[in-house]
Amino acid sequence: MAVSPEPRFQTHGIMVRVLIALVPGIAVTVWAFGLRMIPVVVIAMLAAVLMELVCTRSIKSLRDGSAVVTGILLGLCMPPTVPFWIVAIGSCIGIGIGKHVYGGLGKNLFNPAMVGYVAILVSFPEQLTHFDAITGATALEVVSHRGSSTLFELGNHPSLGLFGASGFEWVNCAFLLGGAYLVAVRIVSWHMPLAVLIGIAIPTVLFFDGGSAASWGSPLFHLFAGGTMLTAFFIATDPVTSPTGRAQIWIYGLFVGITAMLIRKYGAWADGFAFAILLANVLLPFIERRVPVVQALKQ
Amino acid sequence: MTSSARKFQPLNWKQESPSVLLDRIREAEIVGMGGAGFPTHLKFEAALRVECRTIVANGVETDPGVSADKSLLRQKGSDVMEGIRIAARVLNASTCFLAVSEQAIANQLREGDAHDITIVEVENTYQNGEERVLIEKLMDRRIAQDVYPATLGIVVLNVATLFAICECVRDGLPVTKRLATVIGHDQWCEVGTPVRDLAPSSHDLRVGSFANGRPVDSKVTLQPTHNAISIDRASSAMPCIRCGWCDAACPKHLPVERLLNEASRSLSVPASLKHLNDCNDCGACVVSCPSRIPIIDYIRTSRERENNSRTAERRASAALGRFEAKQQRISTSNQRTLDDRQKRMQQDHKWQ
Repeated sequence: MAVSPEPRFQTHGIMVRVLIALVPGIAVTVWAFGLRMIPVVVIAMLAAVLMELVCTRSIKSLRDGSAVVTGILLGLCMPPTVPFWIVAIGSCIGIGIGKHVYGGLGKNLFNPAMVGYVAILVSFPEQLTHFDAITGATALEVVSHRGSSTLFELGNHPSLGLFGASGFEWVNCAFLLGGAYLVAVRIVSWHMPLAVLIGIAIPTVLFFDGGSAASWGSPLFHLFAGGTMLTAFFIATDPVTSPTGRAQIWIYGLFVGITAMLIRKYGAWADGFAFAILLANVLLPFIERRVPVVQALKQ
Repeated sequence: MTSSARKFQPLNWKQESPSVLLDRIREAEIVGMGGAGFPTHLKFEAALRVECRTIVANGVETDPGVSADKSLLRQKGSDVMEGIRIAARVLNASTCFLAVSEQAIANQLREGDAHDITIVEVENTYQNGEERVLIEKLMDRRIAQDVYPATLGIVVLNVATLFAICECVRDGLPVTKRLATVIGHDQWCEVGTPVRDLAPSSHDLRVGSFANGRPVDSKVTLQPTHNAISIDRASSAMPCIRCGWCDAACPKHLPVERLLNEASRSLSVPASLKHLNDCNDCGACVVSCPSRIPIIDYIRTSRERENNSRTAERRASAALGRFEAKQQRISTSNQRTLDDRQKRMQQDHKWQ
């Protein structure tokens, strides 16, 4: 009897399943933000693949699928109105500076997709925050910059949807669905997404305040607005730039969630996930090294 | 096997005294054929110093892709049982266990005469074939990592070893061949055949399972301890993506991913030495790795280097200590000579 046991998946198998899990999210994004999202995502992916080829000068480096995933994740962060050349620059920076400067797959300190996204976000803020041609502002901006009005008065603002942000709520639901698939096939452990979502929920529950003028917005709204689910299930769970230990995962995830909420409330940007992820990446070596010491001291 | 290969006189073991049987096992140079290669007679002698002795015949083979022991039990089950009885006579054992991992094999063995041997089915999960894990399953005794079970009277013997014992005692045959899994197929191999000739189509080979075997040069010859020859997957390894599946797979809960990254960067981290020594080379991490990284090779290299540098340091400091002590001795003896002379001169002076 010849048995050849294999791990549950090989690395490219992981990436293929991540792509499968992204399908509902991509579909709903296209439905919500228009057909222009298709070329945006495709260009982001192609630019990432091209940059990967340029950096490694080997077609073999593509077989793990990580460049494709990075490109698609970056494309999904884009508003539909973004110029294509900005998307391409983002992908090139993400793969080039975010990944290969550090030595390629597995050695990068920062999530490549987020490096690319933040680089173009701070370089071209105008083009990258213009989500909806009709309302001109996303729901997160509306809630954040509503002045002295209460949430109730905002109630029927066109950017707000049924329970989250208009359009974004269904995109988030789709990413939640895809993420549930990743958890079900055990590529992603449920701890990380849950930690991020709890990190979002804690400050919003504490400061919801019944929806008054000082309220941070309802927890449900924040869970289904902006890039919450995409980050929780697909970006924070990037194996290379997230911790491996159970306790460390919780610290990392809660940090991402709470920081993103602080940026949403007090920061200059409407959505804070990209910065939260990069900040958490900076802290990652600290989290990984120090936490065992903390545990050892307790014993 | 022709009779010309016969080297010893066949013994009627039921009548011979245990010491004669033990001498035969020593002469035939039987070693543990599960892979460890520990001389069997030493194991017996260690166990003979204790009052109560138990034999555990280990037919649980959970290494991925290795099935030599299972095939042996299927083909030569009665000989293995006889080997257990010979060992029981040598040791005057009170209890004999035979642990197998397949129900069909257990049923087949039970059909024969097995009144004196307790045949136990053990779940075919990884690590159950490990000595201490098996003892805990069978006898509910937990044995520390640094204690040899034989010194407690528990003799764990691989079924291939027991088959060799049976052959050398009953038929007088030395170990000249063994059943090994060669790339998924169980076959009888002559000991001493170059590994390359057993698997001519493959270049990168490992002796043992692909998970915890050791990469070998194809010129290496088959030894009695080699239970399998597998294809080395190291050449198809991809970079570590820090997924942490190895950490989750490790039965000893070691920080495998960290050890791997320290090892691959040749970092020497003193705090990791304990982890490296705790690892019992099971290879569960290799099985779990989606990037097919031969993690165990890195861990072994790193452990060897750390332990060697420890040894070198210890030797250097011992040598320095000896040197300083010698300098001390020389200077005190010089001083003593001087003092003595001074004293004598003073005494001489008095006599004048």
